[in-house]
Amino acid sequence: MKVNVCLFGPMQKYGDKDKFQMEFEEGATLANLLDRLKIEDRIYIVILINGRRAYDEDEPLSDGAEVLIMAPTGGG
Amino acid sequence: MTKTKWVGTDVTRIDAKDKVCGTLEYMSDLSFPNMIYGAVLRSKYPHALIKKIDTKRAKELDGVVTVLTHEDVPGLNGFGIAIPDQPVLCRDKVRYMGDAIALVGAESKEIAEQALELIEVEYEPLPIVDDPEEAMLDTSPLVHETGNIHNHVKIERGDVEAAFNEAYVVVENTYFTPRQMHAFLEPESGVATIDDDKNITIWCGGQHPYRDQLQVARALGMNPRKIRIINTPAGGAFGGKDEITVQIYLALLVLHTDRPAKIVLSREESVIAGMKRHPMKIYMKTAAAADGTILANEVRVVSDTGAYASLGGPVIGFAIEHSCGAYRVENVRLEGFCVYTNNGVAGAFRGFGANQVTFAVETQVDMIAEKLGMDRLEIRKKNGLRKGDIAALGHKMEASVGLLRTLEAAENSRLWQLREELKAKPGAPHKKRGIGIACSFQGCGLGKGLPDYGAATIELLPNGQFAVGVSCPEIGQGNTTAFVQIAADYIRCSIDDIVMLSGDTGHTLDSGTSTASRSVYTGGNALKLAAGNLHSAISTLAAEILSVPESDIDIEYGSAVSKSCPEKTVSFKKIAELMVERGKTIKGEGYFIWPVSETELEGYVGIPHLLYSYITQIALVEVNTLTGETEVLEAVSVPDPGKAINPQGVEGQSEGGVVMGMGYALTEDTIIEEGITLTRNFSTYILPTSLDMPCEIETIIAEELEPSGPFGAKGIGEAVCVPISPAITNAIHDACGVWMKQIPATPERVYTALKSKEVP
Amino acid sequence: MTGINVAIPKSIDETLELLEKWGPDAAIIAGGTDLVVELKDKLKSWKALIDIGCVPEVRGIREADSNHVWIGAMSTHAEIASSTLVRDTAPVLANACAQVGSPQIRNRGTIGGNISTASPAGDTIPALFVLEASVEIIGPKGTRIVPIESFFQGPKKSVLAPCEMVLGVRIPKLDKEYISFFRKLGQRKSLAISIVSVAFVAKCQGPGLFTDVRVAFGAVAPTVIRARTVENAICGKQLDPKTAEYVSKLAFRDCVPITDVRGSKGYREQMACNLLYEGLLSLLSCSEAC
Repeated sequence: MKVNVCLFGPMQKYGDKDKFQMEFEEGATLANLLDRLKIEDRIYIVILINGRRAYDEDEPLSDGAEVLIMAPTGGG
Repeated sequence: MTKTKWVGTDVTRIDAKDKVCGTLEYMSDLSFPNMIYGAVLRSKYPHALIKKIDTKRAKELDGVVTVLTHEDVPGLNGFGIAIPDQPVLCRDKVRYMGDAIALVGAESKEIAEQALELIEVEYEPLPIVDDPEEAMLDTSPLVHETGNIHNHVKIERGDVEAAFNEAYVVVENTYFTPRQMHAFLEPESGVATIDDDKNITIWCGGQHPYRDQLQVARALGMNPRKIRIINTPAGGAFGGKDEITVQIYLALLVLHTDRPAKIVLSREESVIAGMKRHPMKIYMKTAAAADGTILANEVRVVSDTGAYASLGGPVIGFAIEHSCGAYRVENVRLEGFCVYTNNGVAGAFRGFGANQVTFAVETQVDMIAEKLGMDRLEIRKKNGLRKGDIAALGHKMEASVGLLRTLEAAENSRLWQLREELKAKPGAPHKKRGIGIACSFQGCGLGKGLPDYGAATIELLPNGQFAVGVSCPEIGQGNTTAFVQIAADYIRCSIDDIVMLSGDTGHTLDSGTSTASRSVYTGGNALKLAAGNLHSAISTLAAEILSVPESDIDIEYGSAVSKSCPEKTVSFKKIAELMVERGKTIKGEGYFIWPVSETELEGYVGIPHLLYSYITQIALVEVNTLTGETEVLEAVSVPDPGKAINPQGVEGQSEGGVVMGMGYALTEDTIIEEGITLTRNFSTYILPTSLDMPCEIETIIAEELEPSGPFGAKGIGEAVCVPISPAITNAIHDACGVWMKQIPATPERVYTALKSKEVP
Repeated sequence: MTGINVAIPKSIDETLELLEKWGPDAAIIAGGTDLVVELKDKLKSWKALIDIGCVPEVRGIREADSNHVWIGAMSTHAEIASSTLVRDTAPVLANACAQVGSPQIRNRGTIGGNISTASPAGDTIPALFVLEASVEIIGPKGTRIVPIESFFQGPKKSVLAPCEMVLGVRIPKLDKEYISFFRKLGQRKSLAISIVSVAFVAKCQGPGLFTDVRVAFGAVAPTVIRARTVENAICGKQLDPKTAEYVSKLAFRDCVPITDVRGSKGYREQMACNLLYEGLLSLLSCSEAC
């Protein structure tokens, strides 16, 4: 299955581009995606799958899912 | 625009009665059985190495339950919204007087405080750096090993030199702004509990529960799921509770003792340890043509962020973005530095860097008008941003731009129309009256490159009411009342049928921060999406009840109706009953992601913004030339909030903003000398009192509807406190001919300026 | 934290016994507007407080005799500011009391406390100076009367001996020929500690002509001071706005202010002159004053 990944702000260092597609086998989870991107800090991070906040790494991925990965931040 | 029943009307704040009667329980009022009290040991020096920490004697004191140090922080010993450079509990070095070294939990507050005195810390004092420009030199002591310059922003457009050469008038000045304090009524404080499964709940005034949750989780090395944060109701915040305050200390206490814990900072501790507004030194050189067209602006800002970054990086970016005012300026050279020193900590504060630069640029504009003999309002109208214009950073003003509308409404205000008459009658011959005007814009949302999103939920309750959840905390600004109005009009129900849930990771989805003039726009848009989803669920059940196809269902106020057969209706209450009978839930969730500017500024995040609120403010002052005292007699505030969801709420924000900006202009400054705070409480930190307020503040709402906003709303929380400060200092000039380049314009500063004017 | 004993004596005798019993470990508490702050900031650590709120001998505002008003130490600023007797016979004091702190502080703070604290910025003190009031002190050896000008020895220092306390103040009444003003310069309009304050009393002999001139300044020296140079310069001279400005400028000769977080030495010196000048201007502009 194909998953669309978007890296935001400081997280862009984990990819060559900020928007790209990744292929996974059926049954893959968020953990597989984070492993493949070599993202180590998995606490201070915000992940939205199809707009919804994902907390657990064992959250399953689905074909065509939009995964947004960002560091929490603030500003004015 | 959709017809509304609640939006745009004056609705009494949902928390008004409890706040007015004093019955509202703030979170620091909460208590639990078997609760311990926490106290934090702060540094003895503004800059020192820690050689040894001995807690033995403190632990032995009767009534002390625990004494924690850096060794007891299970996760990352650091916090900070942008980078975690501030230790939770310092291990080897302290960088300001507010640095925390140890944490005591005891049976009473008094015992905890006594125990602090028994903790022995051996220091090796280091040379301090208290001047940000000195801190930038290679020879300066290092606050952080990575260097004292935390952030550097540099943006150039056009040909500044050529513009200065061809200009008819050039004004060049250096401005200084103070370290304003948020001065919320409720100092940083909270309560926490822990259950048998080590789930932690923290009640603590804050501005983004979901980020607090992540920061606590990072320090504890725990899954964020196990931490519930409740931020509402906060006793004021103004940006000063955007960063972590006592949440991690509360979590550490409950984790190590398995008992509920409470920490309430004293005002003095809050003053020393808490956030402030960044003091800035602003150099500005501005060129204009003979007709008043602003040709170029050169700006150099040095911002003192104190010992830790917090949001100092984004603040300097925001200051640079707003440093040319709400004007078209084609040639700019803008440079900003955010610098570490041993002076307290500065972070987010209502206005977020715009206050400082707006004071400078609005003074520059008045100086240019004076040199050209031009009307002060005309020069602003001439250069003011219009929709489609290119702003200083080179970005196009794509969203709604209400600047001209605010200037025109200000021009028609009583105060501006009668200004000569009002100025002519001072209270005594040695008192001089003047009127000042200033305008500004204020970026809404977090800005380009920062993820800005928010979710909301609406759920039909068994009694036919709706639970509405938006996590942006109520920090006193009135956003929960606005959410109730917005939700009621999107759901189409009465505001009395809404149960508002706010600022709780346990009961609301992540809606982001209550900062950046963003919560009404974000929450409102998420509610719009949620209401759409809710309506689908309602329609499904209503179609079944009314035996019509789902596509035939229309939602009216209070009920679902068949479009083809309007006599067929079913009330929300009835639908709720059936929902319960059938064991169903009816719920809508909405996820909103902010639109961003098309302009990308290589290497920077948080700038530019797509959406701005606009404002013009006027002040009438009377200056006593014998003492330098300035009295603000009247003020006019003309905000463009987009659609005013609750006009009375906008007025409240506007009046509060005027007084906050007046304090910034005239009296407020946290004075720190050699790293030591001299203004430790409200007897020396001079907030305006009710007697210092203008007798009249007229608010004229100039709505420029924003198509992407909920019912056309943008945001107004911050802009209201910004241009009033230069309006006041410009009025001082109008009254007695002196330009105040340093605020606060205290009586002594105004008097000194008057005296130096007398000397030829 | 160990507790603190609070005694609530019912008479002055009982108060004196307690003072002797506890000695320097005890402090008298009246309104507590200064003392509680000192306790909170751990500047002082008394073992006992003697609350004189129920001592009848320190209460009341009355005519001591046909020439004097007596104000009990426990009288609050609010009580004094609204007292018809004080407003008629010593309006400068009523005026000063009305400018102390905030309504809450005026309702708690007392004149005895303001005197005993001996701050150079105490707002009632310049008024008492120009009224030439006397302080009634009571102690184990009985009562003694000290002219207000001799009472203060420095910042927070007075002639009060251990075990002594202020009983009240005696104020010579001023007749209708006297005019006065009190003006304080603070960092804001209420809840402000004076940067400089000035009290003025004089006998008005005609527009701009004053005798028996008394001027006192607060917050420009280690104690409140009488400005005799200025007094002599004003006394018996026909003042107009120009000469008023000239004589006011002499005020700095009597002032030795310091620089602190509220104001610099130089500003204080100039403000002493200007506050006086501003006050004189207002007297000159209202001709009905005489």
